[in-house]
Amino acid sequence: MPHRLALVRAVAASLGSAATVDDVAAATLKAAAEYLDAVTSSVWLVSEDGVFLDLRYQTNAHPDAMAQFGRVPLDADIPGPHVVASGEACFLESTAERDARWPLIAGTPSDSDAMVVLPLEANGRRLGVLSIGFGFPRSFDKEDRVALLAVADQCAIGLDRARLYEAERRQTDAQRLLATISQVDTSMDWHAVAHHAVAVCARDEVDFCGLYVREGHLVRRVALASQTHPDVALSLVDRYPTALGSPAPNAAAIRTGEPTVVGSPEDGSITAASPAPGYAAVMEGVETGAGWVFPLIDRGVAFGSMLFTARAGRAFNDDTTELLRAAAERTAALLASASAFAEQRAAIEALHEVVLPGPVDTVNGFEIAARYVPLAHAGAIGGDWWDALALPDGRAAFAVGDVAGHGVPSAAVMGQLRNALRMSLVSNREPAEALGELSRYLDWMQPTAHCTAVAAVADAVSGRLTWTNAGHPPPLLVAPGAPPVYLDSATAAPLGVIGRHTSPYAQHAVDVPRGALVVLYTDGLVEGRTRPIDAGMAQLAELVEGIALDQPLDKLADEMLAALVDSPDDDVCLLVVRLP
Amino acid sequence: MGGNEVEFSATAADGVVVVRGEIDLASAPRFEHALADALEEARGDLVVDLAGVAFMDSAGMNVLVRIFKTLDSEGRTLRLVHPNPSVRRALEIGGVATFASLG
Repeated sequence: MPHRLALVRAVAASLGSAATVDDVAAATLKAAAEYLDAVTSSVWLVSEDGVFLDLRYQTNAHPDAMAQFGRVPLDADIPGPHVVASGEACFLESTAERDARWPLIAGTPSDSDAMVVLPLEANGRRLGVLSIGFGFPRSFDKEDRVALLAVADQCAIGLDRARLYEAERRQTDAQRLLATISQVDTSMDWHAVAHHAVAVCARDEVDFCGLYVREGHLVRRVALASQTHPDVALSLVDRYPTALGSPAPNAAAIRTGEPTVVGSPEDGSITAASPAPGYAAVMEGVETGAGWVFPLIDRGVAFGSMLFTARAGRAFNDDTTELLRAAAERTAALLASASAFAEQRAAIEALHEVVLPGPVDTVNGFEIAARYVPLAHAGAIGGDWWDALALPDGRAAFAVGDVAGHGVPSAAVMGQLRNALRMSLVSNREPAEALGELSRYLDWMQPTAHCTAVAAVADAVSGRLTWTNAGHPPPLLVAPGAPPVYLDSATAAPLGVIGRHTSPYAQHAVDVPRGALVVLYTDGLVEGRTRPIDAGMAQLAELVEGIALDQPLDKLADEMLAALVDSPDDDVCLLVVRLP
Repeated sequence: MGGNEVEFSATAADGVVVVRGEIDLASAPRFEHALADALEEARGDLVVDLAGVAFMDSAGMNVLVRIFKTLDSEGRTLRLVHPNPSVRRALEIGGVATFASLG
């Protein structure tokens, strides 16, 4: 054994450049073999929960001993745990001495004879033990003991430094990962959010990252990425769904709402995500390590799950597991936000598709052009509508309305009002009676809501136009050879406003010449951020004054929108009607 | 007016709310809040003095409709006083003049 000081210097030098726990352990074992003539050496570390002593690094350990003592409880009566507990090194001059002092390990096969088990302690923390075996019986004098303890001290200091460094790096990695997951626009399709999340998570220690969403009784694989098998991952997306009742971890996590462990495939504890032969064929030869599936939770409900597995033969430590749990939580929040937006948009699109009339251009001989301009800013939905109906008696009915407020609730009220008004008008109710019924219906259906509307019925034969206005901007009549005129003889309270003193809706009538235009619209056409409604109405009248009344209505409608729409805060409905 | 900040203020005393500034989508929540507070504090009719209001759009009209419905259910009335000609016109078009008294 070299002089103590030289030995410590040599070990310190080789540990100096070791940055990670792996590097420190490797350098220690190498030094033990090189300078101490050790035939076996091993580093055991206390598990993160403080319950076990785990064999983490070794050279030349006997396979049987490794199998038996790879992980031992810290309260076991054998040398390693004893050294951790006492902080005192254990020197055994021969296998015979070992077997005599430690009956529990007597007879354990070993390639060494004499051995030492040295405590690894730094900054008051008991990290584990360093075990060194020699190929012959030997004694340990005072000099030897001091030298061996000095080597263990160097190793412990290196391990502690590496542990702190790795913890710090993981912290930074964690922040970086969470920030990267969040670098996505949640107003885009939520599938894109899911693909982004798995792509940025399948890095470093994570081999496979998958994202699953519950759809009825099935669990769909929405996104999957892998460092080692990218093509396999891609080919499984949207294929081979898992039954929600399956014991497979991706389904179990959704069913229970709890993190679910993924065992390594070799221990047989994984239930395949799908029993389909096609799935087994794709997965053939694919090895993955252990990992976790975390539930994706929104408002207390697990709507999906997210899987992370380590590389083959590996598992995540507690820090990484915590990071991945946080990554799943962040992803769940992003998906919830993206899908709330998508739902809202889908709701309004569905409503407008179902509720707004199709591309008709004549109604009982009346030419029409209609436009709906949705709100410009994301996430909000308006409550405007228009309608044009061919009545059974040969007349035509026209309406525009505007439910107060925005969002899905307003759009839903709009859909119901529009249908209710259709029923009244098709049943030959006159506009005043129809809007009176509609007002009572709205007050009954949703007392907190109100709506402005104009309903009109036109007779092509007589040229008679009757209308009723419930607090809505008045229709504009453009007759040949006359200045445009607003049909504003009287307005009334909006629909849903039934006060003690509000009067029944009045009905008005005007005779309209052939070829005249009637323009119905919602306030979004004439109001602006700073433009009062009367100013916008004056602008509209000015725009159509003296125009050719026989021009295509589509062109005219587009010109009106282009000239007048001023505010992105409101949606707009426009209906231009030409009398035959 | 610069930026998105809308000039708006409302002070209430003895059932009279004095409003100043512009009432649009941005300030309507504050307008509604002020009227709802006044509605709670006073027991009689609610008077809204609009002399200092330069501009009101449909968002303001929607507030007045909702406030009216509450007042009316308690047997109280809504009085809107001193609107400028443009605001008066907006109140007439919106049908507010049919359920609130305009002075």
